[in-house]
Amino acid sequence: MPKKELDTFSVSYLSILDEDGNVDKELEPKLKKPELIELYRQMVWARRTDERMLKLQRQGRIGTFGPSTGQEASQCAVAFAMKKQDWFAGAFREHGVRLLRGETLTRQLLYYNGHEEGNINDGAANPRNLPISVIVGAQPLHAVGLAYAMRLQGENETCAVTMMGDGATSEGDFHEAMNFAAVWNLPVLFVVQNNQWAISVPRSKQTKSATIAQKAIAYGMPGVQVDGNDALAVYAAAAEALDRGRRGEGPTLIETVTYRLMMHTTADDQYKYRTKEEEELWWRRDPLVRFRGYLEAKKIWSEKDQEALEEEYRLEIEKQVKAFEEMSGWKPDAPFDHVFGTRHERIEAQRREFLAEIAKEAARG
Amino acid sequence: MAKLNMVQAINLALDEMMAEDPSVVVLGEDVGVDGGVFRVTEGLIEKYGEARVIDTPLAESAIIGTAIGMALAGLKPVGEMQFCGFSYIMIPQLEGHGSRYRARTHGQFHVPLVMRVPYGGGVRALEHHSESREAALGHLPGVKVVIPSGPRNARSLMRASILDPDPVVYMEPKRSYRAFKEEVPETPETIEIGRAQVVQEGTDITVIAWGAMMHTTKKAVEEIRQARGASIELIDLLTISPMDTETICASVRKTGRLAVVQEAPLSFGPASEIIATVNDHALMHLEAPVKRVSGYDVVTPYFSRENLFMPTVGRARRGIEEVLDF
Amino acid sequence: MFEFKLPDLGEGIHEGEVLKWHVQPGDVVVEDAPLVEVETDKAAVTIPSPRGGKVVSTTGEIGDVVATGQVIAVIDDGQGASVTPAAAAAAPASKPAAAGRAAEEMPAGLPVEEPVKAAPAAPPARAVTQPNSTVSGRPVPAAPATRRLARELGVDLTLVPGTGPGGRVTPADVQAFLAGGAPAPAAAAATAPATATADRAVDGTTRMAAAAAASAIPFLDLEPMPDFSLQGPVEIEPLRSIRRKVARKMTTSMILVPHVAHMDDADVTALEEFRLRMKTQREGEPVGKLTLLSFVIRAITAGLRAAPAFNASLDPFREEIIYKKYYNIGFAADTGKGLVVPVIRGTDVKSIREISREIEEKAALAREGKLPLEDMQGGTFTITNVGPLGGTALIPTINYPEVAILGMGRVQEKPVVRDGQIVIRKILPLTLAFDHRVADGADAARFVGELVRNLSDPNLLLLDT
Repeated sequence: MPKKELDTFSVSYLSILDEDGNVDKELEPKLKKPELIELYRQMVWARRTDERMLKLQRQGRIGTFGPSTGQEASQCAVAFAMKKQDWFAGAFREHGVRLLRGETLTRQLLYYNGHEEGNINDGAANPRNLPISVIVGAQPLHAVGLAYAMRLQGENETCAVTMMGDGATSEGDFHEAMNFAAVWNLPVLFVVQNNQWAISVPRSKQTKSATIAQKAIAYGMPGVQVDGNDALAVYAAAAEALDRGRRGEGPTLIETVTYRLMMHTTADDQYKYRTKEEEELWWRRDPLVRFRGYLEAKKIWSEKDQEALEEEYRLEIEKQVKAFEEMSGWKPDAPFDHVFGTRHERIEAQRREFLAEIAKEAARG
Repeated sequence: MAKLNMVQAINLALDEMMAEDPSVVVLGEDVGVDGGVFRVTEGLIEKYGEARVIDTPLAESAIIGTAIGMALAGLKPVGEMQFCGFSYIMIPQLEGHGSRYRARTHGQFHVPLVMRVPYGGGVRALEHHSESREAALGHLPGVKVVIPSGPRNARSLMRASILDPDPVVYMEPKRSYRAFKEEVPETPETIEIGRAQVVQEGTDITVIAWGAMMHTTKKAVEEIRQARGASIELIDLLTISPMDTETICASVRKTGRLAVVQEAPLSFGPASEIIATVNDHALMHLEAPVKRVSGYDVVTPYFSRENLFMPTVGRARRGIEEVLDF
Repeated sequence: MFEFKLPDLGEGIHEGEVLKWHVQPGDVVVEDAPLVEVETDKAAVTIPSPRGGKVVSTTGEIGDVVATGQVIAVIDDGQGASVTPAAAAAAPASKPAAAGRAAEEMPAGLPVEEPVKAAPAAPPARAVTQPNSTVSGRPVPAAPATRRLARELGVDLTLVPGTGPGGRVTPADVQAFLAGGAPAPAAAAATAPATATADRAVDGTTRMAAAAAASAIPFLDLEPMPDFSLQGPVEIEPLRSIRRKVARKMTTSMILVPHVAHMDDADVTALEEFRLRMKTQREGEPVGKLTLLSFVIRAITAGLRAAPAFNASLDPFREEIIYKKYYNIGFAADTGKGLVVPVIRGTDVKSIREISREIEEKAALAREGKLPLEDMQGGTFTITNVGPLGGTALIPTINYPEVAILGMGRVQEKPVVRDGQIVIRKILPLTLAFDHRVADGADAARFVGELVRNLSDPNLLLLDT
């Protein structure tokens, strides 16, 4: 009985707009002019707010956060491909996705200043955005459950998108989620932002796999690696995966190859484990610069447009920071309201004690 | 209705809830075609189909993790951890997310799921099948932990758990699964979660137990009553967390004495929490130190000596009498 | 209007018996003039009036026991509002308020401990103060429910003899104490209504039976006293104050402590010569007389340093022996009203002359009933000297919780054999009664032997100091 080959597998890499501004016309997504401009505006908004948050953190005006700078294409282009009814289960470095899906800078600031209120996605924000998941790799399972519920409830046009980093692909829950989604043939899009570093551990130490995309093969779903700093490629891959999900063809894994240009979080010093030279290499691949070049080449964006946009955002950021800093009157005992949906005397007794204690603490000065 | 054992009673509750509410789904390992290794979900897949009675791949974290997702989207999943010993894997999802979505979004999201966990010794099972770890689960804020003690309250507690808007860990005392039958009423009942039940009133001592220990304790109480005519107030805790301060303390204020019978290890167990609760609200009514008739702080031994380590009728009786005679 | 509350007259004094009122309602009293004489368990004291004014009312007939913190006199001092001076507002008065505050702090809606009920204030209450469980330095063993009962009934648990296992105070003990001092059986007490009537009203027969039932000592069969008046005329005096204290303490000691007595004779011929010579030489000086007792105290102190077991206490509840590193020697003094044991502190650093002078002063004060309380507290060893009153030997009872007591008989000239010759020597009979739980016969033999040796040669005694 000779050994025989049962199957062969391959992994593909998608790039549409390269570092030098060359565009693959065949693969170029058919986005209209205002759509392209909108995608670009969202990427710039993500960058400017990220920059401002870093400054606010350094001034002690917000707490720890993980900057997204450099990953705008990986984030915004995915969100741009999503529909409003799609669910989003993210981790903590999808700033661009959250903003694009209606979350305000003010809410982000609230969250990073230690207020659960920043997680509430009501009003303009999409109520189908799950809040930030700090535990690495746990949320893909929630996306699978959401997709299951959607299908059972007859929402066949709804997908669940979950995002995580390259480090999360070592977690068991990531694999269990991939497996469950594939076995149940659910419309789930797994997006791994491979930004090369899980705090100090490089991608090469995270997995022996040549790509993260190829992990999809083991679970029986399509997987593709894309240039994560190429907004067009990310958009195209995500749109295709979501379409497939809506058609009932199951889950997809997308690996976006990108780079975390900043520290892991504001509590990290990246120069303990990597060089400025490496960062400079990736700054030259800045997704914003590349996409702006693309728009300018299409003659749909100009220096004047850019200046106007920068001024608009400067004012908007000031407005939202001000709004954030003027918020007050937080209910100190709110956590007691939200332990359970039902009232229990054991919790209420603790609330009364808590309120009495903080009143005494306040009286103590 | 006919007399049912606990397995049949839980099955009945699941059946009733699935019939009433299409958002109720059952998921777990072998819960579908096999009807569950204890047959608790038997017949459900035939009635409700494999979309609602889901045989999952073998991954406990994913069972609860996907159940959390389902619950966030409005389903009412009832997941099964096949045995208590496999349920620790669910704790990261339960503590990390299931218990927190409500708090972290101030109520925008909530997670109405039930995790069924068969637990406890006495059925000559393999390693990891016999533990009683309700305290570990009860320690998680935002999680409710309930334990029925007989067929009738198993059914009403399951109904209440599915109707509850928050994560409920429903622990099933394996030893009581088929140990005895009880008349279960025709009309579905619910028990308020967070409430203990006084199952027998008395004036000399309060005795608290739950789960399989309720049966053991009832026998001990009856022996003592016959031997010396003591008037014993017996409380079925039913909810481990959030614990019913009021019922416990009202009883202790009446009797002045308390013994707790638990299968769980001694240290940091629910009995300790009960004592602390009494300390807060009824200490000055105590005539005697509170006695814990308990499991020991040992890794649960294999079944050849397992029964030596579990509270027996004799141990329960001696413990209760020690308090009575203090 | 000024309400005068009975202050704590000593360290942890909870009640006092009214001996004499110096004023009557309607009298005008000036500040600091004698108001009332009160005798506590330890001493009789004259309390001067804290205010000048017209006495509106007094509380407590002669013989009544009033509690610390209880209002014993109301004086119209011209001030409208009732003012309590800081000194009189003793800790017990403030405790119910503190307890009430704690109750208020409990979250509303949750079942909480009921607030402490006001202590009965009307005379003749036996004890109406808050329990102070730390007065003895150690908590009184009692279940919380018993503590609550005691608090509600205004009974000081430290005064209640415990009949439960390990000396635990039971609810029945509290009820019995309130009813008149003797423990009652649990069943009776559980249903007995709380009462604050004086002990005379309670049937002694019942109390005896109750005590017997509660004590549960095999063969102990306490029968009620026969009616002695059938045999002849009698006079009945209530057991009170010092007498009651002594009775309680001696009973505790005899029942609790396995006593052993070790006897020996000390040849004090040389010591007496020395003492009398010194006495003569120092006659006229303010030093006063040098008593034999002071030498014995000195010698005992030296002995205790070498044998710490006899300067200890045994805690049966904690199962610990507490060795005291200080030497406070008490001596039993007859006061005519009862036994008082003045304590000489720090006898290891005092000279014989100082000790002798203190003995004289304190004995005199004790006889007058004016010995300050602190001079009767903190003893580590007691000596009882019946020598001046006569007697060849005695077996004393240990002053519990001390471990040993030395009894001194009368020094007599006796014929003894020395080097084969019969000679006349001055002999002091000594008996050491000690707690066999803490020390053994051999320890006592060595201890007393050393004492005898030291007392036989004043030079040895001096060497050791």
